[in-house]
Amino acid sequence: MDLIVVGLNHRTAPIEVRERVAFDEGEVHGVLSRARSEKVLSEAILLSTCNRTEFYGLSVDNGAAEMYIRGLIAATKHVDLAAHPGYAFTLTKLESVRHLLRVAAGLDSLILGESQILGQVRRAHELSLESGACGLMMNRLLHSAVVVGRRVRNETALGAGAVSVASASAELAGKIFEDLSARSVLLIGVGEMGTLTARHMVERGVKKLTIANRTFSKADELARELGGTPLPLDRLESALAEADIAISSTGATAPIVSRGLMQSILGKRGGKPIFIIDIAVPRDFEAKIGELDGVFLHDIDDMNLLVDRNLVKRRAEIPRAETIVEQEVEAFVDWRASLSATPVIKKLRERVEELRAQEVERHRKRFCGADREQVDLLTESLVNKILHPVMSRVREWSDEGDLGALRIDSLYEAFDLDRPGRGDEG
Amino acid sequence: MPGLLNALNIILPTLYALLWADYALLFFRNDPFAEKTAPLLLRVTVGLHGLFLALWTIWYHHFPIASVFEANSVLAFSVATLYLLIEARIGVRTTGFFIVGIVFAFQLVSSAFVEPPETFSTLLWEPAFMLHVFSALLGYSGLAVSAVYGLVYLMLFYDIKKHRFGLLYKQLPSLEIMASFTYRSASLGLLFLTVAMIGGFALLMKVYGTYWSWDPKLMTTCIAWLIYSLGLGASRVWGWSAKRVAFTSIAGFTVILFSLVFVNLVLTRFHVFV
Repeated sequence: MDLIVVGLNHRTAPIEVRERVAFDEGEVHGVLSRARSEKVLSEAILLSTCNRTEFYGLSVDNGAAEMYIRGLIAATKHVDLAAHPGYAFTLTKLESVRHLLRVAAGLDSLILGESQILGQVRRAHELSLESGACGLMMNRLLHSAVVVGRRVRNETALGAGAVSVASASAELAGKIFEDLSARSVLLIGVGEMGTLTARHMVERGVKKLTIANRTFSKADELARELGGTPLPLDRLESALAEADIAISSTGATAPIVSRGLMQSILGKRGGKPIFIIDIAVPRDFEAKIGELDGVFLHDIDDMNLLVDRNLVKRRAEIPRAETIVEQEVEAFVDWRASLSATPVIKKLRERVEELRAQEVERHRKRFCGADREQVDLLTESLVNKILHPVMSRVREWSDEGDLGALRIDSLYEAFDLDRPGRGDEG
Repeated sequence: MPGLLNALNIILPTLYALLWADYALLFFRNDPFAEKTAPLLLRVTVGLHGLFLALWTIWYHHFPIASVFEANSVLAFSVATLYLLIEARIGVRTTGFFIVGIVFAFQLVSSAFVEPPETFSTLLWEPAFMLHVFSALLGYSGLAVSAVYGLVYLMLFYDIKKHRFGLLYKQLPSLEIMASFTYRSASLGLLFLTVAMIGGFALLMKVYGTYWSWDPKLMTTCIAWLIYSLGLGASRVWGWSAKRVAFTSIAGFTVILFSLVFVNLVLTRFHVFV
């Protein structure tokens, strides 16, 4: 039995193709159930996100499995993958394991180190379990993937620091104010980037959002969506006197807030600082406003600078994350190797022999010299007689596929046996 | 006992130096070893320091406030304890580098120059006098912590203002947290300093028959008290920004330092009781 992955992702296929082959949860259930019933794949998992659709399977014949998965995707999504052979990729055996682990680590993500993917991997696992397509091998593989995802996030800074303007704005706001949920945010203009930033603030816990826009109906519409309060733009001055954070992204061709106006607004704020994110180009706030006490003014270039610095830091963490991936690939390979008959028999024999020798040693003083030899022979014979039928069953199990592997796996747990490592022979 | 006290007198600055190095590793390198060991080492060091002060009191029959060098050790202990409480409260360890640095400095000066006095004033056992001195030391501790947080606040404030997203930006907690600790520590410090000053005036009346003396230490302390009162009052009444409070705190503590070091050592013997 070998592992295989066939799929399309942001590295191989453009968005137009990726969106056509994206599966919703209902479709995932259907496809996995079908794959299971048609018996080409003994186990399967389908990971479908906006950046990837990847079908992981376990089969006896990887060639047939590849053809089957490609056909399944083409038939379900009506996409002719044969016409664009470069869009879909196939990896087998160890490479497929390594690929999933890198995906879970965020190493293969469009935004390096993003954390959403780990939740998506977990969900793919749940869907496979619900569809009855997840067996021993996939369970262990997904377990390894989640372990890698957690370790990379805990032991490296691959996911540290914001890497989008919206998240960088929220991060910077968190460096000024301790608790964003207690802060009021003013969104000026309903431009795409500003809206995204405001949305991010709401996701970070902001409860009071005011949206000021020249066209009131648009402010009203967005306020309904984000749970804010709409405001006509002519009441900007009073809104700025109240807000803790202002996000501005209007299409105005000249600054809408001058230094003088801001100075008079600051007089009404009682010393409270204000964080202004001016994403508009041309800028909505005069640059000299940044010189005023109590104003933290950052424009799009500042936010991009922060994003770039964080990206550089994330890239520097790639080698550490790759090391973790390799460690877990190795652990998975060792685990798989432990499921054949020879290593478990060897480990079981070693364990029982160790116990036998310990017990004989403990009672050695009770016997005279000649008896000691007899005791050794007797206990060795006893151990062999006990182990013989177990060994025979283990050899049978090793030919029984998934169920047999599961039984062998449980022997390790039952007798507290060490899994064979890379250095172990047999 | 003197042997043990001498050993502790050497061990304490050594431990504070190690602790400072630990916090430096944590601040500059995010060192996982330092992350684990710093809080433990802080507790052990503060514990040993408390033991040292208790043993000193028992063996030499007076609280270690007879000279500025003895008082420096109490001050180091008090600042370290206050920092321990703050760290436990906010769970952020990256500001330890800044606070433990001054604790180390206070203890180093104390350990280097402290001598057990052969004789000392009986005033040291007067409850009113002890209240006066301990309030002053607690006040100084609060003001020292406030000044350090104020300084760090200003460093981060200007980094964010000028779009410098470097080490301070990465490692320090939010400006709001640091502003809060600057203000709260200064308020606590001012409260104890006020108690110390009232106690001091009462003692002055009892011993010298007057409420006022042109003693330089008394005058510098009054100046510091005025600076803090104005800064904290203005923050409360006129909504002074956290930046102004931070500047006030640094200015006030500069006067306190002048009072502690220069006035105590060079200009006066009024506050020395050996």
